[in-house]
Amino acid sequence: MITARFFDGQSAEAQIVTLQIEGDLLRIAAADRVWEWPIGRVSAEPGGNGGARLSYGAAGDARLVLDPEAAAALRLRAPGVFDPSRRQGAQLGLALGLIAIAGALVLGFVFGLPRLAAPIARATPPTIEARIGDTARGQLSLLGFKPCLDPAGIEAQAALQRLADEIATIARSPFPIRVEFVDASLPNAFALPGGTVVVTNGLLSIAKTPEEIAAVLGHEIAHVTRRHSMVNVIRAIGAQFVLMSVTGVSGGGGGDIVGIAAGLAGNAHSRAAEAEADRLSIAYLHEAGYDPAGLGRFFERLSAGRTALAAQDAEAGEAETTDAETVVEAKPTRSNVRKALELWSSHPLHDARVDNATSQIAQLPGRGYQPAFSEAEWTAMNAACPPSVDENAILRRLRRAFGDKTTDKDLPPPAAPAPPAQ
Amino acid sequence: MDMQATSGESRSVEIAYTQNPWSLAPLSLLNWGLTIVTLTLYRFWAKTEVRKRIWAAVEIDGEALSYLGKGSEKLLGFIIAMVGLLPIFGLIYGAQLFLPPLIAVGIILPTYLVFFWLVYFGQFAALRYQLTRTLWRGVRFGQSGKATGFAWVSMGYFFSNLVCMLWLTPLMDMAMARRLYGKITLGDRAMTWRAGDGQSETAGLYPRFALAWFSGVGIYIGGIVLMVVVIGVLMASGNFPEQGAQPDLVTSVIIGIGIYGFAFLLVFAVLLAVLNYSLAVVRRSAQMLQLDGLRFDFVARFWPTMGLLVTNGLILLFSLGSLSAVTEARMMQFLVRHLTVHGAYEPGAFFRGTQSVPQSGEGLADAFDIGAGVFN
Repeated sequence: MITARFFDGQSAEAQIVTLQIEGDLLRIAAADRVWEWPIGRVSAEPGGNGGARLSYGAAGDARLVLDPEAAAALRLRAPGVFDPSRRQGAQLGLALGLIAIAGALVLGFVFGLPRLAAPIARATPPTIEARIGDTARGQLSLLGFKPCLDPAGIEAQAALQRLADEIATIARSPFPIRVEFVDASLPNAFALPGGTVVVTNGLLSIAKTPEEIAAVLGHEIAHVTRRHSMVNVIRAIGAQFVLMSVTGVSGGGGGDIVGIAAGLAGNAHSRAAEAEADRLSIAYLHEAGYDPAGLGRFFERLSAGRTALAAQDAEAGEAETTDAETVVEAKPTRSNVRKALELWSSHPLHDARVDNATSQIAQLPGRGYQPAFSEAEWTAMNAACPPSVDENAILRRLRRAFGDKTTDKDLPPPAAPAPPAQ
Repeated sequence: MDMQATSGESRSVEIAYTQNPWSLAPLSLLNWGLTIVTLTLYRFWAKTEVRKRIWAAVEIDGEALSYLGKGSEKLLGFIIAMVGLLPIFGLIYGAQLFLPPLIAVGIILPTYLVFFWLVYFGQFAALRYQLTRTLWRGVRFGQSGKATGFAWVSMGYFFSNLVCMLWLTPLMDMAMARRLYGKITLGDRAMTWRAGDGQSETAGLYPRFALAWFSGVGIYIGGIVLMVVVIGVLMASGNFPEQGAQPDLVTSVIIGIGIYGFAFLLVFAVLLAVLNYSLAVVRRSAQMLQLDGLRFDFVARFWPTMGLLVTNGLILLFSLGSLSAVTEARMMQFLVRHLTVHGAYEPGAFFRGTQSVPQSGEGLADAFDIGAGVFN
């Protein structure tokens, strides 16, 4: 006879019971009551020192507690109760099911979400995109992007706007293009949703010909016409929502895993958008009558500048930069390594962009080109908002690397502090 | 284990942890791997499996606890929570995209207050979920009280405490403990929150809190004074670099050691003082609890606790988190070993509770990735 302790789920009182197997039933007999549990539906969980605790779903919180001897005895008579294969099978099914769901999520993340983002962006009414762009402009000014308002800056702004209007007409932009020429040392140009194109004076100091600036402007206007910024907004928000739906608000460690996957997927689509903008820029400029070769030259300059930076670092014995693109440009790496590194970049490699631009331009029908800016406009651009001595060392190195021969000594002294108000 | 019927017998209670925490290492590694390959979706089942194992190792008066929770319940709770939270995030994104920055901040800040409230709500709800999934002698634990009340009170204390430069902390901690642990039930019997020594619930806490507070402030001010002195000495000796100049190697090393040494000292000293205070809070909370004739005490000393936290931290660090179940088991083992129960109880006096058992409840805690009590 097997004896055990039984808790009926109604009180904490233990009852001493005897156990019998009758057919498919486990018969639990107390002094004044009997319970019958179907053996096939009894679950066992291990107790201490080889004991076990048995439960049966329909019996609620009732528990049958077996000491090691009782468990061993029952195991001989009803081995099915202790059969772990049922539970293991369910766990395996669960794990496989969740892996399948995770795989579907990854596919949706990498392929579905980006593909959905473009049609959604193009279906978004331009007024909504323009409003998002207005908000982004407000946020930029909070971040310290101030317009370059010295006389040369105002002239440069007008010249950029004039050229942008010409290109926008050819591009049939859904938005009027509004160029914001800002006083920021970092060489950059970018398009906001809704038609605003921001150009920094740092960018002008790197470009050496008007056609290079025109090419960059055409590139950004292509982003506007193809609504790439809006696609990015939708993709980023969608990715964030999917990420939170899977990992929760904080993300935790799992958020990092999903975030890396999202980043790689986003980079792939970002590189495609950049390549498309390069292609369209060349087409716009050619149609407008400006030499599109400035695009390739600008990327060559960027590439040479990065190589020069890396060389400077090597000469100075400094640690290698963490910028993946710089590493790619500076070292003769194998092509598969270069491709691997490109995965981590949001932009295509410069030399690939140069090659693509060169081959696209070679296929264009011949025609005469006019200068993108007049001499007066170009002079104003080069004089607009000169760099101040307080820009940091990294930016000084960047300028030199990109061909700026100005030394710190050549820079104007810092403005004298204003006299105190009387 | 007593094999005799126990009706009407009043008995004292022993509590033990019967498992080697490292026996959970294989499960922990499996959970870790499955959590990664399922993009974290398996975490609900992983936590449930670990709890089942840890609960089963806790024996109170010779009877082990059972954990009744299910991974699917946790997933359901998480989905419910996210369905509620995602529209709030939609509001935040909408404000960022469409509204001028200042107006957007005016909308976003209150929504973060909502999150704040929800975190407290989630903490209470998660503890209730875990308690209602804990079975002992065929009777479930539970928790009375309301999560909303706990959230409002906790939030009120939090902001009042900021205004009072943290000096409400002992009052706040004990008020929260009273609303969390003082509401625990076992079957139809409820805990009572009453000090056996007749003193207030914060007795003995303020001196330790003062030590933590003053050590933080004192080391901060002392560190600044020390840095000023070091800079003064360097300047007086002509070794301090002029503005914009690159300091020589020796000066750089001295400055570096000074800054990082100061930061390390500050953090370490404050951690020690905070741990000393936190142990006192746990002990006082245990002393306030009473269940029928049973009273509790928590007798962990400072250095063993410190040793546990440091070694658990090292295990997590070197295993990249893959042995988290082992650290949780070690924590439970430590708690059980240092928890003492005095008095006697009559098992036949505890009956099944009449409170409804929530179908889910840990969703918010999972969504915010916060812990409920000891285990998250």
